[in-house]
Amino acid sequence: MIKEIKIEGIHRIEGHMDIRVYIKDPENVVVRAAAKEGTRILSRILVGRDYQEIPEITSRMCGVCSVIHKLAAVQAIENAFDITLTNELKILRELVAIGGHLQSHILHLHFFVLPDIMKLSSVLELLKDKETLVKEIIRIKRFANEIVERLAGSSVHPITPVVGGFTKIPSRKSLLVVKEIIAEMKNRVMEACRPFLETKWDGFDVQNVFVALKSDKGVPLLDGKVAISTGLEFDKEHYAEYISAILEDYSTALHYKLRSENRSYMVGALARLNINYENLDDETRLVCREYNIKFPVNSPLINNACQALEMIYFLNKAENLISELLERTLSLSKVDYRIKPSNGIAVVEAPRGLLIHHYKINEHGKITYSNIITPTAQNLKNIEENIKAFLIEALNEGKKENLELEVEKIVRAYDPCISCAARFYHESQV
Amino acid sequence: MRNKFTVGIFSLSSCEGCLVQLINLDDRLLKLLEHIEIVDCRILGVKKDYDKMNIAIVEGSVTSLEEREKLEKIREKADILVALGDCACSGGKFLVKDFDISEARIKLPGSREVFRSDPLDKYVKVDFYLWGCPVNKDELFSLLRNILLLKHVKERAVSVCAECVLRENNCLIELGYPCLGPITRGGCSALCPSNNKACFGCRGLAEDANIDSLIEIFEQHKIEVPEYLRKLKALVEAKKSDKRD
Repeated sequence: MIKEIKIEGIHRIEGHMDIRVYIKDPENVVVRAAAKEGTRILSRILVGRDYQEIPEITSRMCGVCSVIHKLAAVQAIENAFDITLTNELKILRELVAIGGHLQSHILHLHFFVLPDIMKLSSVLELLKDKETLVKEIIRIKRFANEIVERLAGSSVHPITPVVGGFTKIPSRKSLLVVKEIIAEMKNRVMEACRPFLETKWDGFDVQNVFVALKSDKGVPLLDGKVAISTGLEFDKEHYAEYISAILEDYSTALHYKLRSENRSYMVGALARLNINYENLDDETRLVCREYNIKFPVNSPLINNACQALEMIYFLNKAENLISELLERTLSLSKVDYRIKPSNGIAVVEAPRGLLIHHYKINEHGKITYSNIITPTAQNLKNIEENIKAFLIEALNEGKKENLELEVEKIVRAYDPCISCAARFYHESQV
Repeated sequence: MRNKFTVGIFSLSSCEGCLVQLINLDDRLLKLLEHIEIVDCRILGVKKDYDKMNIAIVEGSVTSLEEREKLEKIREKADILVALGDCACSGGKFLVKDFDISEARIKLPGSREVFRSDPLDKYVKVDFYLWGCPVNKDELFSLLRNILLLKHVKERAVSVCAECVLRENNCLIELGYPCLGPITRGGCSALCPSNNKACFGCRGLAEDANIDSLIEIFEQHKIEVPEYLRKLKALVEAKKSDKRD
């Protein structure tokens, strides 16, 4: 063996992850991306519980993207009970989801990635001579938190979204404040995103397959068909025919691959924009042009720039949605529904990519089966493949220095969330 | 001026939502940073050389031997250890109310052991507990401030129900919801009931919790008694008889 790379507990990601690389020769590189978070077997804990408890528990899979885990569970159960929300409630849900994406993207870009760009190890080091910048980052993060807090009760583990709607809808006064916050964030977001757009994320030569929700309007978060970048599309009910789990004994998370392509794939902001770039609004397109970002793109490192683009895009979208909501009357907080034995599936876009929640519910409203496929778990195999491609290229070019840091940067670009990934174990899936 | 307090921030198995709450202290975190020096925090990318630290803040529950060893090492180096959030305080049990995990005892991939989710104080001494899922930012800030000021820290002895009454909310039990406010440790300012949502007890049992009486009140109001409340009762009784033995 000519080299072994071991990175334990990668810094500035959510959760615990190790990378092991064994290089025998430049053509023979083995990469293992291992989730090291203790498994909390959430899928099993859900079985036997009342359907109303499910979103409370799934929200706790991840403190960074708790919003989408709550909404996904709520939506899957609504799917099982054939519940259709009013348009007003749908808009409110979408705004909550956007708030969650903004929270997560800010945390990832500004707390985890920015130090890489500035060649520092921690955002705290910025405090020494760039205190205004740190204060600005904190300000926009607080804005994103306040959007979620005002619309859903709490910025971490939101309270009000429940099956059928919300326990409480925000007052008109609160909606007007949210509108102001969105406007204020819009003023500041371009400046805050500039470092991620200016950086040259050229990376390395790699071919990736991308999977994301697709719709004919915008970049969808809560509905749409599932699209594969090779051209295939399928409805959410058929997810198991396309996505299959792989059990790796070195990782506490399941890994996944696409059956149809028999290979790994990438989900996340880059996948969303690769699949929906034609639907971006004019302003975001202009930014793409200004920074010479042309979709589709392949390198996973560009995921960072895509999250920045998404912040601009989602703020524009949120501005439209909140105006629309203020024009309507938001009076009904919940629609009526009946419990019935059924099967419910939700496929949504978490900040880190495609997220699938699937439940079976009996006539008493108790869960009899659950399956949750998180974005990071889906990305793990592709992270391994991309690191391998990078190392083969680097070794062939004779590079030997700083390989660890470059590998870490690739991992961080995926914005992995091991808390989410290392949870789901079924005897039936093995 | 005295030296800054050295602080390590650690995470075992958890959703890291409590760490997010710590970062969400925002300007108050900057204020704290004038008085503390963070020596270890993976999520913020800080790893300094240190043999001792004044305060260790530990989030998450112990789910493996590796985590237990990590926790024991942290304890050795720390003067004060703070359990941050429900997972650290109770192993996350109050949220999932899963008191019988033996039914889920299975071998898991990537780990040689069977599943467990233990609170920190099963293995080490804990000096301060911060309950909640996630922890409340005001409570977190005031605990840290009080530690820095060397002030005596006392746990508030009120239930969520008492805090809810102070906020003049409508009583959810009277409206027919199975609210656990009367038996749950306060400190959250009745966040969920104030959002029309029944308290589900994430902060653990209040000191004087009377589960029997709550079940009686539910029955009086024709509220279906949730299964987890009966499990909770069985757990408390088992603990009591443990103590007697």
